Amino acid sequence: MNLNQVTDGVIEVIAMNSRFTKDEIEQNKPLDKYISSDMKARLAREVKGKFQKVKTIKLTNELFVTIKKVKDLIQHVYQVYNEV
Amino acid sequence: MYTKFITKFNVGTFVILLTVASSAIAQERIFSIGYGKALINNDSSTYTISIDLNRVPGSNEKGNGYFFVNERIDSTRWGYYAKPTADINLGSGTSAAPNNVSVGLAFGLAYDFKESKIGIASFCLEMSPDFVGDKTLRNSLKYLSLTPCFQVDNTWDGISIFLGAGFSYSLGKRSILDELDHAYSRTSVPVSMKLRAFNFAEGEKMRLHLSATYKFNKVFNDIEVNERSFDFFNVKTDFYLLKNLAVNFTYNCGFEEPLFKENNAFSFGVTLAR
Repeated sequence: MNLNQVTDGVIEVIAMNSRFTKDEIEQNKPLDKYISSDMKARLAREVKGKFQKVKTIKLTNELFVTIKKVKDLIQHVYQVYNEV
Repeated sequence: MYTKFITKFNVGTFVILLTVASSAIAQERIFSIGYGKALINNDSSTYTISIDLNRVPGSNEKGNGYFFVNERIDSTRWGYYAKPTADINLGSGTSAAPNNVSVGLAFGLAYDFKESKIGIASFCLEMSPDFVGDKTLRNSLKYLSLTPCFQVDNTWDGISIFLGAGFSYSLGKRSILDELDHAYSRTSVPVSMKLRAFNFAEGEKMRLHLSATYKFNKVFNDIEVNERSFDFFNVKTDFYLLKNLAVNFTYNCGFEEPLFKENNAFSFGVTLAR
């Protein structure tokens, strides 16, 4: 899965779980702008629904600590699918 | 007597420290240190340290913090999770907080509704063993609670609002030092609201977090209290001046576990977050 496919998929999931459309979501903006912290556990489950290889528990906890921006989430998923 | 107390204290302390350690890994708000004032008696100015993990007093914070498990069930919209919760208040006074140690381990089922006109909504059914104690752990509650709840979240550009409401039934025991355990059961209706305002034009620096919780308790079986119905209200704000540093204000009013003593106190201080 290449970076464009992951980017489209992640932004689609964020749009499905927020008030924002795909066109309104920017990669460089903080994830908090689109998803509140109360909905991050839900977001992790939804990302898992779209990307089966993602480990939900790891993603959930990183959403609260290291994943700050939309592009961080994209990178997290991309690395899962492109681990050596 | 002291051996029993020390044993109980050590077991309780171990459980608390274990929960805190596992939760603190991913906690947004690590702790707060500050000054408190109780408004009922004229005697009590207190210094407080509070550690809040996954919890607003009187209501579970379903979305925050560290999870042991968080999985989706195949291709359905159902999921399940397990997470520790903790709300620990230390300091020179106990009156600024309704309870001083509150820890639990929540196991939950969640149904995530599709986005609709009302917002992003989820239904949760949660079961949790809980421990709620006073400062010395001489008087504590141990119970199993079952809580169905509904929560909805809306996020716009620069502001997000979260609303949650539920119904909780708890069944367990009250432990008082040097006494036999007594039966304890209650129902409660917690309603919570959270508001977050932020200005990303200023990076992540300027943020305001406000949460308010109302909780109605109906106690069915308890040796400690004569009254049976109790209200409790809590407001907590954090205003972030820097990315990891905030000033906070907390106000508690009403009656809450474990002692159900009248509480009317405010405190303010500094929050360290991550």
